Amino acid sequence: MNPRVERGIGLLLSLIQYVSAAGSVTVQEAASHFGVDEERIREAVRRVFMAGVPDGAGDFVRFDIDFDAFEEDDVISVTMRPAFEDETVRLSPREASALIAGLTLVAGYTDAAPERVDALREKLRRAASTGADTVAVDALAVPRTAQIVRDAIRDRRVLAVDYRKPGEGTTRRRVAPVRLELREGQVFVEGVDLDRQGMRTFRLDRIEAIEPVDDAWPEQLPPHERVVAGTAQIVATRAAAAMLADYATTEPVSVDGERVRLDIEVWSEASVLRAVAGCGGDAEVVAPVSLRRAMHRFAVDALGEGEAVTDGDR
Amino acid sequence: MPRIEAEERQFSLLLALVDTRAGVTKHELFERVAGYQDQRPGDALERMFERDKDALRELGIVIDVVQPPGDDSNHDARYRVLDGVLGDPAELQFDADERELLDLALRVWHEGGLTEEAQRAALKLRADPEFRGGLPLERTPGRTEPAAVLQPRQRPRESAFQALKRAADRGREVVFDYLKPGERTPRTRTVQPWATVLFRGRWMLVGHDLGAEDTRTFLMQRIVSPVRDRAPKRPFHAPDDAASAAIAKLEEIWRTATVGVQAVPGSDADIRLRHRPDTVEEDGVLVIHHADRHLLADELAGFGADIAVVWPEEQQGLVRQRLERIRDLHADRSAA
Repeated sequence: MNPRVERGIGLLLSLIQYVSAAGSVTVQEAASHFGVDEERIREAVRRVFMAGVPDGAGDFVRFDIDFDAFEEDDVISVTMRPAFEDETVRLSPREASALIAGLTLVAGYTDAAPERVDALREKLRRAASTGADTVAVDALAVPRTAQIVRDAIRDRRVLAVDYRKPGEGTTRRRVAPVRLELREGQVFVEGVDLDRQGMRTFRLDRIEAIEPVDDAWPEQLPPHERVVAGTAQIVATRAAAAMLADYATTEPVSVDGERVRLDIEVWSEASVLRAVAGCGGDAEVVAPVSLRRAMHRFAVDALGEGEAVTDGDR
Repeated sequence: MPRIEAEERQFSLLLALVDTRAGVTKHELFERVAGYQDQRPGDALERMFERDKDALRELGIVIDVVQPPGDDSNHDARYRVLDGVLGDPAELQFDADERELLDLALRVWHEGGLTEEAQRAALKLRADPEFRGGLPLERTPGRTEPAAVLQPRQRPRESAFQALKRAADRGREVVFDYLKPGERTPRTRTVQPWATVLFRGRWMLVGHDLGAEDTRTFLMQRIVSPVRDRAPKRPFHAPDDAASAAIAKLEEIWRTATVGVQAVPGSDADIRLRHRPDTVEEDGVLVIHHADRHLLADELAGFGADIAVVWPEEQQGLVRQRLERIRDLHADRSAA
């Protein structure tokens, strides 16, 4: 957890509600529930229940726990809780937005009925304190292919997938899908390629056709392997380097005021050329020379100048 | 006497603020709250108070200041927690299906720019002992569906993200160098930040550009300098619907901006462009939608010889320029 979040009083407030609702919990249970260390829970308990009373507030009794149980048995047991008894701190507008935005991105990939999702969205809005709407995401229709994959994962059915890789033709693969990955607006299917007997990742928008077939579900899932042919050195503007960041194996290092140098993985030459060209000329392949030449050829071919520049290319 | 930690002081401050209907003066707070009591009055104490208010605000606890009429001094202002900040705990309780959905929604932000908000939200939801969402999968053994099946991840690497959010929360203006798509030299912008939006996989900042004197949308990826912030000349407020209005406007641009592209049948470009949202085919030409012609030109350059822009001419030119630049950058006459 982010230390700024873990250190904050958010944990204290939540802990009060949690132990009150649970009645009695061990420090270990609370730590596992909140995903923090046991020592952090003990510290939070001491801060909530043993210190920090504002003076001059009359007979201000806030919360009480069974101190002996806490000190001797590591058990948090609430005996009294007048403050925050029927009140809780609402979600901040940004917290609610994060939940609503996340929900918008994933809901279509789940089995949940759209009405249920809408109702939950409304409930989150009501659970937020008022404020400006500061985060939003676009809601895109979920491709039919993704729904077929989702159902196949649930029903453990093998899929026949017509898949196209750049620079290669379409191949039919038999895939036992195990997971859908949503990554930066792109959808990937992870699954066992039964013909290659290995775990592979497929880009959903490269799937031409897909249908369930009757092949047997594999008994064992092979580990994921990623074949990386080598690395390439790139010099790019900072903005272009950010576009390549997913493939980077090094942090960008400044070369002049405007450009940075970084290494990226070459998992397939065709894909790397596309990724670099997709930076629109703001990224340059520095090494290896073979990849530089291929990048040059890529642009020349795309400009339809194949013959005219043969001399310069050689 | 042991030093009072910030967390303890802020907790005590919250209790004092919640305990009052009419509000309390700063002087009263300084006398009552553990952690202020042992401090000398002065700038350091004032700054500590400001920091604590910021920390509470990050939790969504907005502190209301009531100024007595006709009194501009800070002396008699009364502080209290705004109505509506505290709610019924039942509002944050969810049934099993809802908890599963929320777990997934939280996972989207595991590594992303909204991580902090998602974690804070998860902390609040975990006040309910039934709520186990958002924890790393390895900490919740035995749970397979649906979190193991669907792995969402939205990871803005844009370093500007946190700085922009924090400035927006504190009502500060931001100054940064921005490399507008299609331009070669960055320009310094001063912006009142309103909202962050995610559109077609790209994070953007929405705000009032003080130079342009108008609402502008900035791609976070193209903010090329550190983000500095400063106090605004006059306080500003984001419109209530800043984020959703920005998304609606982008959708409108997307709906109306189209480019005709011919793709080599069966090529990678062909299949991916057909899968792009809203693409249709008209007389063998793929009509694709976009929100920015320069960003689209970058994307189309990435398809190389697999595509040719049919119309409009301007888009043809933009793609050609990029390919020429790539060609020239990689032309090694010395290696000939």
